[in-house]
Amino acid sequence: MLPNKSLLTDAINIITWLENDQNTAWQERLSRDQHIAKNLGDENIEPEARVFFWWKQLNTQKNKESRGEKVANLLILVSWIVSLTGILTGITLTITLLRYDGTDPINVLILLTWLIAIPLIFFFLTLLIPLFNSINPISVLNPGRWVISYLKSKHAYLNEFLSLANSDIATDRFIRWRLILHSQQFGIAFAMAALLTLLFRASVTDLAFGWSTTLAINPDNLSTLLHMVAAPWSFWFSEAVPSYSLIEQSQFYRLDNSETTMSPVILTEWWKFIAMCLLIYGVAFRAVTLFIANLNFRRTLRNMLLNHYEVTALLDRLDTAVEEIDEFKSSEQIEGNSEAQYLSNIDDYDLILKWNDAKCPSKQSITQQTESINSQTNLENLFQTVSLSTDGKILIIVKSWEPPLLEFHDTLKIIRSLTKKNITVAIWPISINNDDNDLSNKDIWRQSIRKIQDPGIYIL
Amino acid sequence: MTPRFAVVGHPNKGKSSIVSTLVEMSEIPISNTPGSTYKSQSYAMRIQNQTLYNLIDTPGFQRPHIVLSWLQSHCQTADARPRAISKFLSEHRDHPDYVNECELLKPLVDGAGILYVVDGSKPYGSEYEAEMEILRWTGRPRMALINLIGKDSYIEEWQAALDQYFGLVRIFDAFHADLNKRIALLISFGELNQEWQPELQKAIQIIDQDWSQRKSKSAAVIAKLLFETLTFKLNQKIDNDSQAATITENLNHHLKDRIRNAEHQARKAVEYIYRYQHIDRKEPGIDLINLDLFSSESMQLFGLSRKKLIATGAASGATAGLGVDVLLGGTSLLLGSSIGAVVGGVSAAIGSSHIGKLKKYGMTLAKRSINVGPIKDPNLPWALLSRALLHHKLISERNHALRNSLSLEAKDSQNIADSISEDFRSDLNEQFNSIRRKFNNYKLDKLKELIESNL
Repeated sequence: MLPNKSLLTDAINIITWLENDQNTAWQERLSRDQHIAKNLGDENIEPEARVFFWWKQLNTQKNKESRGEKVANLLILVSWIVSLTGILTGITLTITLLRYDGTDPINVLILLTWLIAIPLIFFFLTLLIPLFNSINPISVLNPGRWVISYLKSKHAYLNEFLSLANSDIATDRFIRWRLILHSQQFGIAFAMAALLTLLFRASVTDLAFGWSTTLAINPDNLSTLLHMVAAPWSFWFSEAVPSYSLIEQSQFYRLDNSETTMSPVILTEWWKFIAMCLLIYGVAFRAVTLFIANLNFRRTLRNMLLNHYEVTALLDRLDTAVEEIDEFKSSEQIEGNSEAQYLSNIDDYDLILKWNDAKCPSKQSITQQTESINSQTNLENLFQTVSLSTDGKILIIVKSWEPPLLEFHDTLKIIRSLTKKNITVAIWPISINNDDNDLSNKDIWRQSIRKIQDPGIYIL
Repeated sequence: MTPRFAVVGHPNKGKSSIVSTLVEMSEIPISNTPGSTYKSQSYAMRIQNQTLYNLIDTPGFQRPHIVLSWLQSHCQTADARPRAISKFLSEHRDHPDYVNECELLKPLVDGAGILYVVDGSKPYGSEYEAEMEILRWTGRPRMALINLIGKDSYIEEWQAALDQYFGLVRIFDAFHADLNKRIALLISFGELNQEWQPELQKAIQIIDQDWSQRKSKSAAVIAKLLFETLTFKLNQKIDNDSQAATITENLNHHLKDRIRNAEHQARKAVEYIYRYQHIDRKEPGIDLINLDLFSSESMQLFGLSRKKLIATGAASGATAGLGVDVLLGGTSLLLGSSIGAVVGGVSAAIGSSHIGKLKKYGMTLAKRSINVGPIKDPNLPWALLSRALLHHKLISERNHALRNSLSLEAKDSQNIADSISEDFRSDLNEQFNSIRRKFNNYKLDKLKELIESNL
């Protein structure tokens, strides 16, 4: 039902861990991650694999109380509740529809409407979910949504997890694919339960099927329609395709008191057709959708993970080419938390920008191109003179005590429009006294930059 | 016309704190997150059903450079600058990029004075110049307030820059400014515009009067608390003596709870008088103001020291004995005073903390009752008074911009009762004894006057 539990758990735990890691001194984070990166080996390894390798090195033991485990278990619980509801609905409805006391036959048209047509309508509505901008209007009737809403109100960590995602789009996709997954789980459970109930009832009792309608539908029309319905299996299981004579002979009118010409044996023939309808339209179609939804859900999860700005920053740290990496140092081993320590890897940046005359605390010479910018700077001209590699890095030094105005957001957007997507922008808020304890101001910067929803822009 | 001032500036520089302090409203949202004020909001300083002045809390500038560029491109001469501001507003009113600028400029165009707020504990930066220039373009009377949010001071560099853009520059700590500093600021507001002076002078008078009334009202509340404590008693009938111990204990608990509750109510009343609707009292660690009144620590910290207690008792006894000496025309050779002093001192020294006593009456009917109170501990009114004085001090010196809980350090609170002057202590003790003997409204008024003189 949920083959991606491990990915889900790890994705949530990694993001949560990195969010908490924001309070660790930068140099300590850098040193730790570079140390892990030493063992990565192949430089061309995929980003996702690099992140999971890093995670494996840091977390050798599984924590059942972790947020990731909790959310994953919660979603598994939702799957079970949805499936169980589907099974119970399927059994109850099928038993009701197959009630037969030996007088009038069971009307196949009613049976097909309830067991096939109505679920199919819901199925197609579910398929529309990815097409709409807002998931609200069409997902109101989705049982998975009801359960998720209920659990969200009871379990704060589900909300917390969704708020961890760096972008509203990612969160939206996560919920969409989750809803589609739960819908298919419900539909498959419903159809399987209906199918098994039909097979059981057909095995232990005689069921006579017929069809009856007030509308002017003659056997010819119905035959054409049902042959179309049975098309998917007509080539390899023709016995489950209702023949014209069966359709013609099984039409009945409840007021018709004349002696029936219908043979009871013939009337039992319908069950194979109904069973195949359930198998193909109820189970097979939804199974394919479940598979696709699952793939997309995994992809969404991967994107949520890799597009988180903290993961971008982590990948940058893992990628940092350092000739000689010091042995991993704990915060106690690092003397002080001076911002000057950041400068140990300042050479990794291709371009350094100083926003509103922010001063770099370094006394050492910086060899890269360094420019002072403000909201009036013509960035287009500036970037024409800069040669950035495809995966280059830009460092923007800012004053930590001056909260970012929307002017700064505008500047970041312009920089992003002038640079390639792979280029990352690190923002370094420098405090007045050059210490690394200015956490509240850094947090203000972090929260503000987060609103831009660009995974390539992050705070050091 | 009631003066109106728009409090403007960079985000997160304490605009809302200044508004909160100057209009005495602790309900104004103050947040550490920049940009938490999205809309301009006008707050009136109202006392005695009169609006003294209005302060408008505004969102911070977000795109000052772009706005200034627009203004410069739409205006050639200085006389047209205020019109350019109005034009900017009318053309960008619904533009999502300039919501903040429109919100903060609108009250200025409508005639409000400018209070520009900067944080003097952070260095000056050229990025402020665009917004200061925009404010200059409005042509409105303007003053800069250097707020001190942090520990460092960059006042000089700020002063040098602000002097170029503002007619008046004042240093104002929104979190610690006392009444005098607030009044001084109001006087400065008057200097901005002659038309506002009469209104602001009237406002200052009203604030002064109101402040005196606050003290008087607070003194009445504290006096009532002390009176109730000195006279509280409870009574319960019992059927047989075996119940006496349990009932006495229960009544003792009830009595103490009533006094605690009275103290709580008195504190709330004082807070309301000073216009604090809600002050958080939950603070981890040592929080002396919230110590239980009857705890030994509270009595030790807030009550009179044993030495002072004996001295006060002796002085009070001597005064009573002196009356006898006077009546005897001095023939007693001050024996009355001496005996009174000894009796008063010894009584205070051994003052009982027993508050319950079994009183029997109607023996023929075999009915009994337990009377508990008033509490005879001589230090209790002193402890209550000290706590009330301390609480009043904290509240009256507090600013409405502060959102932290009410608490104090041990060193700030010790020996408050002991620090009360000897004369005042002696007068108070006399009042306490007098109320204990017999109560009347005159005594309550006298007690209130005494307390008010010491607030």
